Amino acid sequence: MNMLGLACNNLRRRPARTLLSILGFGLTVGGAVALLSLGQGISTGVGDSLSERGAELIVSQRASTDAFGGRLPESLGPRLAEVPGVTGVSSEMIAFVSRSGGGPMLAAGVPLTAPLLRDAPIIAGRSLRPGDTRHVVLGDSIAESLGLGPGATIELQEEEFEVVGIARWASRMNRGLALMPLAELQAITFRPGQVTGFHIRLEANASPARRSEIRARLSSVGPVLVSEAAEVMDSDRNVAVLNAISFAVSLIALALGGLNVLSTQLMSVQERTREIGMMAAIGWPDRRLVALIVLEGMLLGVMGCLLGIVVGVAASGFFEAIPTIGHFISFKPSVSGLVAPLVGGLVMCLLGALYPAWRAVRLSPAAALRRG
Amino acid sequence: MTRPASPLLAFDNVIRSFDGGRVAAVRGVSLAIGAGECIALTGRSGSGKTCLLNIAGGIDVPESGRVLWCGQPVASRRAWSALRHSEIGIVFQEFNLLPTLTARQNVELSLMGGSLGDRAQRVQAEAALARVGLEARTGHLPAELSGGERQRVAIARALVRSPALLLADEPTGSLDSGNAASIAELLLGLPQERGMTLLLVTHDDTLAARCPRQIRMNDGLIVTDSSPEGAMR
Repeated sequence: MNMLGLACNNLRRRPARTLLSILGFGLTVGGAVALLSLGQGISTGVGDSLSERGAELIVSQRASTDAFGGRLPESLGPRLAEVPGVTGVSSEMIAFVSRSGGGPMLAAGVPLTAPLLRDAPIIAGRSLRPGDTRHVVLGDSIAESLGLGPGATIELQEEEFEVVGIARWASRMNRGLALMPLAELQAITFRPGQVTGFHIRLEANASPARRSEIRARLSSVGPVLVSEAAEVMDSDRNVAVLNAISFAVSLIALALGGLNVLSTQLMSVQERTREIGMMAAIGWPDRRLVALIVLEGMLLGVMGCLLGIVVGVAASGFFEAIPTIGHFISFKPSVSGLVAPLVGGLVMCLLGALYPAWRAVRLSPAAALRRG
Repeated sequence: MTRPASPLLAFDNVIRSFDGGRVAAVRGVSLAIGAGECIALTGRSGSGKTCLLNIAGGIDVPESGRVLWCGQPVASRRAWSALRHSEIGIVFQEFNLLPTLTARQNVELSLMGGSLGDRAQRVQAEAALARVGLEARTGHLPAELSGGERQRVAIARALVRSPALLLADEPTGSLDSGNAASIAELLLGLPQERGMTLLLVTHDDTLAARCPRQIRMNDGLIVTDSSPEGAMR
């Protein structure tokens, strides 16, 4: 028999309590996994969406609180296009617009000459083209959930638009997007002549040094922030606040998980006071008794973490099934995203098991045998 | 630790009280126990004999005085743990077996933490159980064993490391007369068979009479010792 076998045996002695402790800790870790993957899902989703729409670099308003909340004059586009190394500039406005009979919907306004419209993965109807006005191309996900196809109409910001096509984008955010002429989105959001950013295409095979040089030149054009598509949300204050809240809630949840382990092990140690005294009496040193009780706590933690991964992934899938969330964000807990809650959870378990372990060995063996 | 000619264990003016000093359990006991002795420690309930036995095994700590093993004072909890792991075995009246472990696994508890692998532990534990006549009951849980068999498992657990000193606190106290006699035979044979030192706390005068040396305690003091040269007073 070894320590692991003995620890497992001790946990099996109270199967209901052990299972409830694992379940409680698993839900805690699962909640932390889901919460922490939320912010990551937003950042990744936006980055994927921009990359798919042909952006290599994004130019947005400097010091804007959120990535799509800034305002830049549309007239800035030609100046950006003059920067050496830039091969294409496409203005874009992103905004949430109200939809008749439903919640807000993400809309993107682009010039009708944008290469994006030519490259859009249309699966029904057509793309937008010069001359279109109150026309939209819907992502297939939102079109399917609304039951709309080419020829249908949709009311956005109390204005009627005709659906001319359905596009099957790869990224989750784009699949919930309504693509419309830039001028129309400017008009219905009362922001004429303004855009939220510019998509920049660079010369082929630009080296990292060259990219940095181009970024620096673009930054000098005006009060703008130049970002890689994948890092555009890094400066978003809303996402930063969301991440901070997620982290804080996760930390509290994991601390509660640690308390759960502490409570379970404390009860277990109190019930086994006489046994622990007997083990000390047959020559078990304090450090081995501590190791046994901590090992039991860590086993609870490890099993809770495994359950937590399952719960976290399941919860992420559940969030994706909610249309108001799932149309914009892809929750896919990554391996790197699992590290923080799992390590945090195990550290809390360790802390939760140490106190009962200390309690177990602070008595003399004779006192422990008398108490039992 | 090297084993001495004698004394194996000595108490030097040991004092132990409880309840903030209001209950004096052991009041200045000095005593020497030689290797291979078989000693019965008797006395009324509350006379201090179990307390003295606990101090002899280092599972209780005296307030003052010294306990010496092979002439060396033993003071730290760690040193006592090491002694109990290799040199001192303890048998309790209440057996104190873990209910979810088999007889063999209960014996293996004494071997854990040493240099033996799982297989060697298993072999030694089975051999110890065979020595106490339980070779056919190694896979049984304590609840499946009789009182006498449980006490044999506890004795096997204490003997498996071949200790120099065996401390037994009322080992027959929870047994019927048949099992008590059988356990007594087993314990009293150890000093002769294995050169082991036995310190036996008992209320049973018949059992005590079979020990070559008898020590009687009253009110925390040794009142008679059939081997006066063993006392250091």
